[in-house]
Amino acid sequence: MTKGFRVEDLTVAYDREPVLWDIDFDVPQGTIMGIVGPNGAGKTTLIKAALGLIKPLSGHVLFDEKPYKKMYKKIGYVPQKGSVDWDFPTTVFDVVLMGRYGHVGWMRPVRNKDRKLALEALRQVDMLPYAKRHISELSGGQQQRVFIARALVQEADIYFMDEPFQGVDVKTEKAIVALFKQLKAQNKIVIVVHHDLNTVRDYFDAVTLLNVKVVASGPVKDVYTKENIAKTYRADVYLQEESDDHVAV
Amino acid sequence: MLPFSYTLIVVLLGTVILGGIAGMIGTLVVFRSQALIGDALSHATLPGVVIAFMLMQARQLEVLLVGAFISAVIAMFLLDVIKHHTTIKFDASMALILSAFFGFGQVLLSHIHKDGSAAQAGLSRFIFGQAATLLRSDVYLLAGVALLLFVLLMLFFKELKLFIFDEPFFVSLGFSRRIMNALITFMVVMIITIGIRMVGVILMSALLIAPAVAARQFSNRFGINVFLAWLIGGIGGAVGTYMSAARANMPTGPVIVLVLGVIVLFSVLFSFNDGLIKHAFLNWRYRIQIQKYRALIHFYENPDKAPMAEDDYAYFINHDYLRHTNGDLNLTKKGLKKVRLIKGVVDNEY
Repeated sequence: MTKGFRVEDLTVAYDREPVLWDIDFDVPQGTIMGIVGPNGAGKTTLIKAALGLIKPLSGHVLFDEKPYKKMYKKIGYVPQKGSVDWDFPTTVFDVVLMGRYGHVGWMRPVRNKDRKLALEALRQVDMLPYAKRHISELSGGQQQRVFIARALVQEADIYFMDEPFQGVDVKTEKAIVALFKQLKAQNKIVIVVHHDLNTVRDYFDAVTLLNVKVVASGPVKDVYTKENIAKTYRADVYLQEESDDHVAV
Repeated sequence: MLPFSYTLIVVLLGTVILGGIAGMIGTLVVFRSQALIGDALSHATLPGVVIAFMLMQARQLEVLLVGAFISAVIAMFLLDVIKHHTTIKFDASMALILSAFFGFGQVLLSHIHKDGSAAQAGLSRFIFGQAATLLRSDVYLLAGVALLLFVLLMLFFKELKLFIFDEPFFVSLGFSRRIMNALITFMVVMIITIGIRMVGVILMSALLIAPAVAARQFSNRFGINVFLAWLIGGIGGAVGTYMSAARANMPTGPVIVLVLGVIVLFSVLFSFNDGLIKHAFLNWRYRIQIQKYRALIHFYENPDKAPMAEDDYAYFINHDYLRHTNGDLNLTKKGLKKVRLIKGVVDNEY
């Protein structure tokens, strides 16, 4: 049995319009992988299909060779922070505690052990002083750190994060990158939907270039090339580190 | 002071129980931004009531309410079908279902009326409700349903909270979206079904929505919101019933809704979070402070070139905000504190 995350022949369509076409790639343990591609490339859809939120037309997604339904306690999820209503009446601590609900199970109350884990996760993302605040009182970066704390208490082996760097401050960005390193050291997998091409080399050790189909997938140093990026975006792409060098198709 | 007659006590019990549990269930739909669903479903119960009567030729409340329940479930099913299989916007589909079902109910009612059916008068009470004729057996039925709904709410409390706040995350934890949708629909349809006898299909949604909206003004915690909505719904039921009983011929349902409306108005005005009164007061105080201490703030920021009006200078010296030390004009501790207090507000706002 091979440990890790694997996608096989995955095809997803909305109303006969394919969003993901015949996706294959795998991610070994201890990998931080970025999913990169233009708008509408199917990045978020890929995560949602992996988490069982969307039913694929064909193919499957395997976690340590098992389907999602048998592994959901081992999987953590950080949705886009714009996906929830931040006016909902709940506190920072309560939101983090929600990450434990899967372990607690239907109709059971949360335990003291869960509360301890939630406080510990809040401390880890430097949000402990905000525990009793209402969630609408937070900045964008702080909201993101709350979502990440919620994923941490899931004690997962594989984490999916949908644009965690979107609209966050420098402090939060640093905290997330530090967290990646820590999770990697624990031999966990982190799969991150990402927008900024310039930071891919700094944040990730593997990358999947996606535009409905997989253009390339593997270690950053092997597959994150000008040619592959151009193929993915099918247009001129400007990278800061290659400032005098437009990448053209 | 109105004497508490047996009838009044029965009606009071009924409206307090209904108001409380409807307020609790209402928080679920209001925080899901689906407040209008309650309105659509309650209007949709009318044809079910009439059809149940026509088919069974019976006037028992239980029979009519089963008809109401089925009718509302069909409406919910249609709403779901429209949502998933057409491009019609959800608010438009709710308005469509609401008016179509209610219109159908009215047509059926007038059909019975032409038949000369004696029970017609009994059925039209479902439009505006008739709490005053509540029977002891009706209250038992109501209490039973309220208890069932309360137990469900407590059992699934944490699931409901997360499902409403963040549905994709909830599903990613392995919980079932279908069970939660069915549970919420069941609870909403049950409370509507049991409530239309008292407040009618037109006003029933107010009992769901108003307590939740009022409660939201006073707490940022889900559990406390649910509790406050229960309290406010119960108080609305009690006060409304008592007021309508105190004057002859005042309809109970509409008076309860009116009382709830007044509670909402006051809670929005006096909200702890950001009530209109609190907001206006803070802005007013800020303006006064700026007008009074503008020169002092200016001096704090530019102590060298701060020409000051005679009046201001005299006032600040007299009140010990400014003092001459070694020939220089300086802010006193009191003055510094004042400036920082006002500027602190500025810093917070930007």
